[in-house]
Amino acid sequence: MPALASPTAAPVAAARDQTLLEDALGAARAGDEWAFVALYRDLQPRLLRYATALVGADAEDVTAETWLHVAKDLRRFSGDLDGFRGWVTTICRNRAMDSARARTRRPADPAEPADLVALADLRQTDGAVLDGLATRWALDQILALPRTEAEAVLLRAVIGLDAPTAAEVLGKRPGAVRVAAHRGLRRLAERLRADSDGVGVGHHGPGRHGSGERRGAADV
Amino acid sequence: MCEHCTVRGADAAPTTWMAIADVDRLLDGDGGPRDLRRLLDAAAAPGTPAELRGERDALAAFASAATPRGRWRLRRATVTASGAVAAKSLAAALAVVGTATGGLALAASETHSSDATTARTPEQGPTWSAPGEHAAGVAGAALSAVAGVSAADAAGAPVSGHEVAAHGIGGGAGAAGGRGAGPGGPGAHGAAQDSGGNSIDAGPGGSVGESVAGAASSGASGGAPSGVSSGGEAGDSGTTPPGLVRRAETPAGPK
Repeated sequence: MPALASPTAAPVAAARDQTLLEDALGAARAGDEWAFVALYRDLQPRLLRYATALVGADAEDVTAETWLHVAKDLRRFSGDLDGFRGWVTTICRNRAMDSARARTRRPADPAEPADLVALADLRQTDGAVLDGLATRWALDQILALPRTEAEAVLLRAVIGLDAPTAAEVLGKRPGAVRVAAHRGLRRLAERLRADSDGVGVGHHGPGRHGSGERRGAADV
Repeated sequence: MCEHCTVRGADAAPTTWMAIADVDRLLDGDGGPRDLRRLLDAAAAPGTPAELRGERDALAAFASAATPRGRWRLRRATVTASGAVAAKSLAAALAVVGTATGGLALAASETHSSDATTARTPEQGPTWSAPGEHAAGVAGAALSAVAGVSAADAAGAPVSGHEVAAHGIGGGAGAAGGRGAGPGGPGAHGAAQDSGGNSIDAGPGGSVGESVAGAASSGASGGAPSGVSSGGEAGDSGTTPPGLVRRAETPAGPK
């Protein structure tokens, strides 16, 4: 298990202050390119991680398409920063599903996107995409969760959406997202505790936390 | 051991672990078990250069969208090839049939609807210049031929389909001083193809596309730009723009 105490230092500083980003959103809508860059740097890394959870190696293509769409329509967007993140994430999720459908070469089935997580495999991604070892390990832990729980945790804790916005992205009730995130975090906590106790029930170990669970996610 | 980490089973009721409110705080980046807090912080760590390597392209797209020419390019860039080409092929077929059979009413109605839904400025015309969209360009040319019908009609030109199509485009080229005018083909289809080639290849200094757009606006406004516009819509393929309706791009996942 890689050390979590100090995640890989980010050479590229992201503007994370909410007020600044709110201002950047307004400026970007007015056409300010630097403001757009600030928004991109804030959201893109987390968006890429979320897309990686959905489509694995195609995540970069998916996020590139997402930002193309955003660049085209941002000036017509109205809403706050949470709304912006939700909008962008929705586009990303739609593009990810399109990508997954294209990859599987079978007719689209909107009712069964559960294969998305089954397709995700960080080992298939370009190693340069996720440079931070701790970040990669943390994402691997989250991706080992059942799909609904993993998506809820990613949207809430990684993308930074609030529960209602995450629920809109997923097309669920906020309460359902809260419960899914709660259960996901509980599993993660249990896994961490098992690791720290030396039980050996890691994400690569046997039992419900291993790869079998990810397969189970596809059956949700 | 943290007090929060008293989990005894993943399937236990949520209330035996943390309250929902505490979970919300944890997900919002505050509090929670230390190890879990660190894991979530690591997952949401700031981006690395590798994760941001698409920044230049995204910024270029944003900058390009700031200009009318850029907007046309972006719309074309988002065209989904199969859907757009199919739609434009259909439009081309309709235009050919309409002009060849003297179906001026059909052609004119398409022209008017196109003009009503796409407000363009003359300088937007010649931006139909990116590669890889020949089929779409041909379709746009077909619409251009239809627009030519409209222009000719407004000028009191004859109404027979074959002759009108050529005359309409020829009128636009004539307004440009006849440079590089490629119309005058033997039929409506030929005229449409010629016009398409000119529209695609004519850059800012080109003759037909730009000239028609500037000098014969009624004819050019329904030409290549219409194809671009319809292609852009087709490229969105079910995704609607944002704005007041923030959920315009609705998730396609299960409810």
